[in-house]
Amino acid sequence: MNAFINIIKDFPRYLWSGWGAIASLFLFLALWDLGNQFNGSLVLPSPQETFIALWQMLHTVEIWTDVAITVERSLWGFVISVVLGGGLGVLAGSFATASIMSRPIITVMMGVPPIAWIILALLWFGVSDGSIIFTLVVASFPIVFVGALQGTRTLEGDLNDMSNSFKTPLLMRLTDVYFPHVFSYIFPASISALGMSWKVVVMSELLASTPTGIGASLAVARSHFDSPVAMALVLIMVIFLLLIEYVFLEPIKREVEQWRN
Amino acid sequence: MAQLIIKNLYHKFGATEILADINFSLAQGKVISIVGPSGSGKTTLLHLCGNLLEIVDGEVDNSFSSQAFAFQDARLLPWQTALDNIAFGLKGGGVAKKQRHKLATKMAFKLGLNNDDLAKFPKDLSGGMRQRVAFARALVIKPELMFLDEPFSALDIGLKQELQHLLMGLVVNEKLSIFFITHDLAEAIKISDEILVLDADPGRIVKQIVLDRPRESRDEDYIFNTTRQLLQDPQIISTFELNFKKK
Ligand SMILES: Nc1ncnc2c1ncn2[C@@H]1O[C@H](COP(=O)(O)OP(=O)(O)OP(=O)(O)O)[C@@H](O)[C@H]1O
Ligand SMILES: [Mg+2]
Repeated sequence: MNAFINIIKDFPRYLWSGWGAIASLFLFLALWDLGNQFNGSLVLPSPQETFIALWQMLHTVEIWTDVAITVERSLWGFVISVVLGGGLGVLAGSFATASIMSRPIITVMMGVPPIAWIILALLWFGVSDGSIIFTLVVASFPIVFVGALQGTRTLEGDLNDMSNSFKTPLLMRLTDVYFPHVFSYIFPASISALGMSWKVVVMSELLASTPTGIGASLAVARSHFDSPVAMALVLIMVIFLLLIEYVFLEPIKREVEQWRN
Repeated sequence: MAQLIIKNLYHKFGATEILADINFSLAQGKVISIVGPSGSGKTTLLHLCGNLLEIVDGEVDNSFSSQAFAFQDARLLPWQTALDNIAFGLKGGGVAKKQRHKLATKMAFKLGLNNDDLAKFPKDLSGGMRQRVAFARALVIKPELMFLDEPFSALDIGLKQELQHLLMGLVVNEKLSIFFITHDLAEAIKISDEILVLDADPGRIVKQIVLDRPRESRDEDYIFNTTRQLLQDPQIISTFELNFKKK
């Protein structure tokens, strides 16, 4: 609760600190426009064309349903990854043998590119939400798993001894000693996993040729050679990621990690 | 009456013998100090006595009903504020939040910490503050027996003196017993009933000094003279290799 109030309290100051980020965004826009002037609108539509296309798009119902569907899929993939990766990671980290054995499996999972996974998923499960979510989980789960594993492996015996010396009950040891440490590993891993599932979801939608989602709209834009629309869709994805990252995750991160150096 | 009795205690890490044939006892209301060169096994002995290390060879008989530690490294929870760290033991003992914060704050003030310090995370505390937080965490649960591993090593002389007095008050008034590790001979002479000198390789008790004079009447002169006397003792000279340093 306290943490929540602190997050809200710090928010204006946090926004103010965003000026640097905004400046660099504008620089990016300028370079983008320069690219347009050199390459022409078919290759790289200008920021202006793109924003017009975006504006028009935002007035249609379809884009909102597409965004909603894509968000829903990636959230499912993300949540499953975090729950599964966190749970199994802690479990594997608790046993030396399990952590040694899981390493190669995770390396394999991370080594196979998501684009290969979606093909396999399509072969196994056909075109469905299931295939897409499966791909997201396979791509994001190892990240969280490794975080949780490392967090559990690096639990300090010294702090454990300390808490035992006070005859601390198990529940309190979990909440006060183990959890904060493991969480400090799982949290950043989850942020990476979220970014991963957001990127992979669109790719999966496109490759799976589902009729819905941002990926599907992207496929349509491609078949019509409609670069401004394609660009606008990319923009939507980026804006979403930025919003989640900076409006939602970053303030939480500041609050929960303020004890760190 | 509660006491801590150590009989024929040996300890090894791997193949290295760390402690050999340790025997002593600590009665209620008494202070025993361990002095000895760095690496002689003082911390190991403390952990064995406090049941933090498994006893392989020998006997440790501890009949105190409660005990608390101030570790050589403070061992604070980095994700909790100084206040919550001090209240850690109380929370484990089931004391309600308001009450434990009240008790922790009171104890912190006694040790010269202020409200500002209490709101900080360990990373923002000075070494001496961290040491005091760890010390407060042990004191605040009012244990019968305290294991203190160089608890004042990072403090200035003023604070050190203050906290020594605080401890001695508890020994006299509350019958607190203390297992005390220090590198400071004068400090040991000031507060102990008995000093054990531990020599290294393997750690063994080579000298046992009983201080008869009541603590209240140990003035500067007494402490100074006794320290000087000890520093001339051949056993101490060889244990700490004092001759070597003179050359
Ligand atoms: N967990 C361990 N594993 C192996 N060796 C250890 C372990 N802990 C301590 N030792 C060794 O045991 C010896 C005694 O260590 P200990 O920490 O008890 O010394 P100490 O007397 O407390 O020294 P100091 O005054 O520097 O704190 C050292 O040689 C140390 O290297
Ligand atoms: Mg030590």
